[in-house]
Amino acid sequence: MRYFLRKLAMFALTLWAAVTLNFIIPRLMPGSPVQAALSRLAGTGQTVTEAMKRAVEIQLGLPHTSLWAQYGDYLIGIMHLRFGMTYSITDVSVTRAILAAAPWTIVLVGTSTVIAFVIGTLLGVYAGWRRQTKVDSAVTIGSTFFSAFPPFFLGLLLLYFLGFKYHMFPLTGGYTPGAVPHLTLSFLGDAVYHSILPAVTLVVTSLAGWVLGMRNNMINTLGEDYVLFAEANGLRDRTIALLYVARNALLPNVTGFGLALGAVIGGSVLVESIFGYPGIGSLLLLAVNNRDYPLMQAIFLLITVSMLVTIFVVDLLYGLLDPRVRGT
Amino acid sequence: MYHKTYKKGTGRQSRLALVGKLGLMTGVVTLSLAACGSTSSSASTSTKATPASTQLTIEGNTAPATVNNLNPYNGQFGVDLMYNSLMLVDPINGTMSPELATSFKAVNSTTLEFTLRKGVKWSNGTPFTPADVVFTFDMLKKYPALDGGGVWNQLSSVTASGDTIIFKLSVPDVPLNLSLASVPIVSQAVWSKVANPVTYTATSPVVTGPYTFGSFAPTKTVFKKNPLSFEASDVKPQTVAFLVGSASQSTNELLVANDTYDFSFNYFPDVQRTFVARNPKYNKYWFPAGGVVGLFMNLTSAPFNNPNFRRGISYAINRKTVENKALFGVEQVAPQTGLVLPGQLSWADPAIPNDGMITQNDQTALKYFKLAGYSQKNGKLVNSAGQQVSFSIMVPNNYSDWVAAAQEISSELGKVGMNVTLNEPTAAVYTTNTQSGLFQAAMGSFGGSGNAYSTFNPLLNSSFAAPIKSIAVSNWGRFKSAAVDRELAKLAAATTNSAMIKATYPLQEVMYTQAPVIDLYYGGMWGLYSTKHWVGWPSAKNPYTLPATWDDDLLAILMHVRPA
Repeated sequence: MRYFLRKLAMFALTLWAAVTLNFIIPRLMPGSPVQAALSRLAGTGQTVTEAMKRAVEIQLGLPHTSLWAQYGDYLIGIMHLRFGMTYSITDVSVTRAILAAAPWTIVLVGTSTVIAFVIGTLLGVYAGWRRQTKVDSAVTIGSTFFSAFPPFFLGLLLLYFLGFKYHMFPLTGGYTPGAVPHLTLSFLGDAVYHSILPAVTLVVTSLAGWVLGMRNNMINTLGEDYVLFAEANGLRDRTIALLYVARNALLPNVTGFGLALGAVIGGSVLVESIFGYPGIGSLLLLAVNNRDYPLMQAIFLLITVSMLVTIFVVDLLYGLLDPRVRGT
Repeated sequence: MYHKTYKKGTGRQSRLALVGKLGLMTGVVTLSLAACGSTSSSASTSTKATPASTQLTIEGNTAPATVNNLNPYNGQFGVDLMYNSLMLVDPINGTMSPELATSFKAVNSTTLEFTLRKGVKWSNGTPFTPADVVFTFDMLKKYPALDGGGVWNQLSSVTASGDTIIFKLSVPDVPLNLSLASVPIVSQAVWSKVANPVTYTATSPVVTGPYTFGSFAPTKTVFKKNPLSFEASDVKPQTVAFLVGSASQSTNELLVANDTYDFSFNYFPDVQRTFVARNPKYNKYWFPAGGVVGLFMNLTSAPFNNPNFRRGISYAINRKTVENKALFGVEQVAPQTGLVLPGQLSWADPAIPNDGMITQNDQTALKYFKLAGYSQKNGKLVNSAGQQVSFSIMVPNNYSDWVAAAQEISSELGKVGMNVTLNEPTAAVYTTNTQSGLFQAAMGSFGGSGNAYSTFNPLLNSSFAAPIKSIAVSNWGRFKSAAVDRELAKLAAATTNSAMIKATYPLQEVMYTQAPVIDLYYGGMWGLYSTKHWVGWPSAKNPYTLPATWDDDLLAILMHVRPA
């Protein structure tokens, strides 16, 4: 019990620190939302007057209170899940903006993470079992090769050839322009069609991590005595590979998978922006471009909290699974 | 991402729709799936391909919109097609043509009169009245957030007398007429009931313009013809659709090249190869001058406090090579007078040689440096104490064309013996530092409204020159001259066109001889269009407006295009 209480206290402390840093860091960034707006305007050669500056300030509804007061409001707001209005989108609350973007990211990045994990782990098992063969080299080198592609580069290549040259896939967006998102089969089909290229990009570029991790764990486990014993007993190769070796080698990869799931909500800024995908990554980019503190803070908070919660849960599970971790 | 995509959606005129439009620009206004199925509209009908000859498609936001905001002062792309203003302003030369008002007269330098068109109807059938205009301006006074053009800084009253709207100004400012003419006019009957016009989304708009609202989806907004408009027969497309683009420049290039839009606003490097060559028969571009890109200098400290030194720099720079590095020759070099030619050729001071164009000449440059007290020694340009002239040029790190230009300037000034480095902060830091006067030299841009007063006043008026470390929204260089202020006041008070032109001569003279800013080349308006379905786009041969997808420019374009 003490173990869990200690973990819980640590979690609360980390959460408070993260929440506070999340408040401070955006305010340390140079520039203000008004300046960001006005500099774009000035870049067009337009005269920027004091009156326009005032108009922008009023429209954005910028706070004029002290930092401490803002911090207090911020903490109270978080407890009520109230994050204020965004500066980037006229008349839309941060909560609404995030709720609209989150499903896209969760489905796209979440599914891609699961697919990458499953394919990568299976390939890793195979490569580890057939270590030092041509298959092993092909899988290891192949997945490393594709992971070396920056995601945006692979994304652009796919867009250019499959989207632009051969018109097999749409060039941008989460769905056909003009459609209104709703839960019907035809819309979902359309959304899946639009998500194929970004998903392929995400899967291919993240595959190697799973493959290499799993392969190395396999090779380590293959050296264990019980594997030798199983072989001596004349068990079938596949039984040994899957039930004796892979099952034990899988544990570290599962931890990694848990953490990867925690990171899903953060989206993928580069991939989402290249494919014009309406998720959290695109939203974050938008917020940063506009010095949109409320939106930025809320997204960072979401990312931090989901990460912390995942780590907390993984910690607890470890305590349950492995009594040694619990200490006393 | 190439920084010129920023321009998307910005009103170039001192136009009201500031924030909303700024928002549109960077790719702002976002996302979708606003609660599954909450937007009831006719998505299924709008996704059906409308026959090409009736719909005109324009690139709109770079990200899906959440809210169908049709507020004329901060709404999405296309609101300019629904709401009329008093007159249409030509962004090239600042002339006005009739809209809700048929004529304009400056009675004197503080009294401006617009005469309204008769028989105009709102889209709900009720007649448009002078009271609507007075109501609109009073609303702007009450809600400064709507008054992006800041007209109430100079206005003291707005009244109607018959069909004439009389604007009384608190200070002489005849050029304010352009800002007054650009204010979208709304219906008193509708807007007087609105609790807060700043956040009002006006989703069932009552308008006088040639188009009214058709349908909305996060990625596509359609406007349909308003049969009751006095301009209904002047526009040919039955519907105008704004389709979402991409926030990623590379993806956008593919979208545009893929024939997705009839008209879009995008800067493409090497446009001939990346756009025109994809479909040479239809794909056309026009990149006219939008404003002047120049080298701003901090005039409060040496060596830039010396006009002769600045003139020396002006002669030491080869503007053509600078433009070539920045924009690959698609734009022209700018004259040192601050005007945008050929649009403003009629304004050029005949006393200034060669329309103010300056040819690079090291000997002349050294002559001016000498007058300023600097001379070449062992290949270095040194002051009387023997120290080499050295300074940095500040430029936002993501404005790749400006960075290229600054690099070229640095190397050219290096050839006359200066040590010029680049300082490349983020755009936000750049803005803060230039406005606070914390820079030595900086790339910047100005002008581009077609109106001489709105070019020279922010650039040269002492009233903008805040002390160093205080924010100056314009006149970053802190140019101060009582004589120039008097000339600016004369220009503001001039009531006839010829008097205005004459009043700019002393200002052009100051620009030319004192070089408070080194004018380099024109920043462009990046119009890309396809003549497959529609023709009659603005072009070098027919420059009736600038190719922008917003503001008066857009309305003017819709009045000119016709089926191919």
